[in-house]
Amino acid sequence: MRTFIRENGLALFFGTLFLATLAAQSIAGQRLVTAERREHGGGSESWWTYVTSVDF
Amino acid sequence: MENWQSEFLQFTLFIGATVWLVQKGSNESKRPVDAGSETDEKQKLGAHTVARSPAWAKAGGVRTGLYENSLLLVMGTIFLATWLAQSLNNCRSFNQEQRAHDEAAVSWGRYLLDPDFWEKTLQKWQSEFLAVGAMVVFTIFLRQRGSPESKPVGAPHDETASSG
Repeated sequence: MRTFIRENGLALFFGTLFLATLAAQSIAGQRLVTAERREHGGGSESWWTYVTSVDF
Repeated sequence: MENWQSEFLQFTLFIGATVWLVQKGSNESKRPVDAGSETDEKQKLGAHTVARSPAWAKAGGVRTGLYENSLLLVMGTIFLATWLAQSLNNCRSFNQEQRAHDEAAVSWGRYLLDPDFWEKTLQKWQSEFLAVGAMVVFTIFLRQRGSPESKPVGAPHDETASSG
């Protein structure tokens, strides 16, 4: 396991950064859409609805 | 500014990460045995400088310390400057929309906590990290004859850092 991490550290590093920022983007985007909907008298949008929508 | 900051972040992280992290088989990586800041001999420093070495490489002390990290320092500075510029531009644009909807403007500090700023920032970051990660992995298995970004066509998949 240690050898695998040592030999593949670069790909693991950028892969982790990609997944973390994609997840964080999805949360920020869902909060943004929910805030906009509330401004126009609508309800909140779930995270799953947001990530399966064209907005994401 | 959004595009600029993410590009410079990508290069800053790639330059920094490739000092210590390796990817076996990739042409975007050093060989695993070379991980780290390397010897003065390999870096042509100290007693190993040559006649045509840059002046700050020969100077020693703080100047050489700065010069040997100059690429990271410059890329990182440009990233921070463009990210700051992006945040100021986005805040101004956000407040224009707020006023258009008869809502109160927010301070720059408050805007940095708003999902609008982070959604715009993270959208760029994730695509940059995907591109770099893909390049690191693709160069293990794929080839492009004649490109220095590729290993030689006949090189084994587990051969690391051998340009075509």
